[in-house]
Amino acid sequence: MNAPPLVVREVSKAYGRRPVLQAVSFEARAGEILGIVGENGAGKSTLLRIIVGLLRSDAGDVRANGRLGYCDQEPQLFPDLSIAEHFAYFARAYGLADGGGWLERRDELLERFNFNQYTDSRVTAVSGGTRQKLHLSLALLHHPDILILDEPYLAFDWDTYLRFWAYAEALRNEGAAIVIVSHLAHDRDRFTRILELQDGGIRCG
Amino acid sequence: MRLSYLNTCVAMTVRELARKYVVLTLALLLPVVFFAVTFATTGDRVVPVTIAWATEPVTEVDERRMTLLFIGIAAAGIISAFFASSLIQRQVAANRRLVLCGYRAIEIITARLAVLLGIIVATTLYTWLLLSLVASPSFPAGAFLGIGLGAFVYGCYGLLVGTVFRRELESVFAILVLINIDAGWLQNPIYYESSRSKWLIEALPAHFPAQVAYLAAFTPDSYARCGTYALAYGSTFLVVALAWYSFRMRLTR
Repeated sequence: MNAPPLVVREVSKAYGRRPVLQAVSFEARAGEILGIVGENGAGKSTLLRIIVGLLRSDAGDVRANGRLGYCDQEPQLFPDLSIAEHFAYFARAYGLADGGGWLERRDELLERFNFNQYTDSRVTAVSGGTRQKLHLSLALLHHPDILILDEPYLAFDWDTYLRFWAYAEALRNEGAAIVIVSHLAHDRDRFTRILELQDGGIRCG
Repeated sequence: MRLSYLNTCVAMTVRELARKYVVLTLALLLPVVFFAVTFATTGDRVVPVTIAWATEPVTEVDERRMTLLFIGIAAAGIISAFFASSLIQRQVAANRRLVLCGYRAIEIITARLAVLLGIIVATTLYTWLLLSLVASPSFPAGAFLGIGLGAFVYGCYGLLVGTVFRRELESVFAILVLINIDAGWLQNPIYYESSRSKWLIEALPAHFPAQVAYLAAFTPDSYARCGTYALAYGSTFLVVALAWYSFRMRLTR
């Protein structure tokens, strides 16, 4: 049996004296959409930031086997660059820029999330929803095996929200492991499995 | 260090910078305003001043020429410091995301430094050319070097400020306060002579660049030692800023 793409073992984190995560363990398997839910301040975003390596845990470890794609809650973009320039910049970061394949991938993502009319627009000139689409697309550009998403659709309109879930389902069928933080009750049916963060620990839903 | 990664980062940084039209316009206007005000408010009398690193304690200089040179160093320093601070402070999270996606922190830092170097050279050249228009006869190449060193030292200071402070208001405050007191006031040789705390003036960032410019412009003395000290001063800011920035950009995995 293949090792799970993502293994989180005994991860703990405290901010000062306030423990946020206490010995949290779980695995994300290939072909599943894992939902992480919990109240505000339960440590969901902290957990994701530890998984991708943006934050150091106090204890425990995280093992990722495969390419990782990460989409934070807030779009982390360059306001004065255009959408096309963002794709070029991140294609370079992922090591894709020397081949032409990323251009097809870019066009596919622009089409899929319906923002191809803004390709040459600067980030400052587009709506919050379009920024969020770009933010998510950059996490998908390199065909990640593990997708870590922190409420990626907060600024989406309903159509894009549905497009997102259709795509997430397609990725799941291709064998990607997807971890999504969500607050929305109606998302629950879309998850293969739900982990609820409560009092620093985790509970399977 | 991967050259293609570096090239992309430099290209994107330049594009970002080139699109800040208002900032660029203000940067172009700043030395013009400084020189115009100085030209309008100074007289052409000859005044005795003390240049700290000159072999002759007192040198007689044209007040307007000296003040124009002094204000030119301040203008170049302000422009460099603001651009440097902005280059390093803005989009830290987006830059960190680039690192998460495969960039190395050193490539992003080096790209920023390359762009900063370009800004310093362009600022120095522009300020010196404007200075040549208002000051007759033109200043020698050593004065150009003094302005360039002022831009370098304050560019490195701007990098440090942009790294330490996370918000722009704090950075603006830290840059304006120091440059105003230092390059905009205390490095004027008129104040040096009667100062009760010369050590304080000598310890400030613009001291060595200003001395290089004055020595070159008004004395036959060598300015090599002062120039070396100015480079060392700026480099110290640079090293601390880079270490701090690398720390902020680090990933845990």
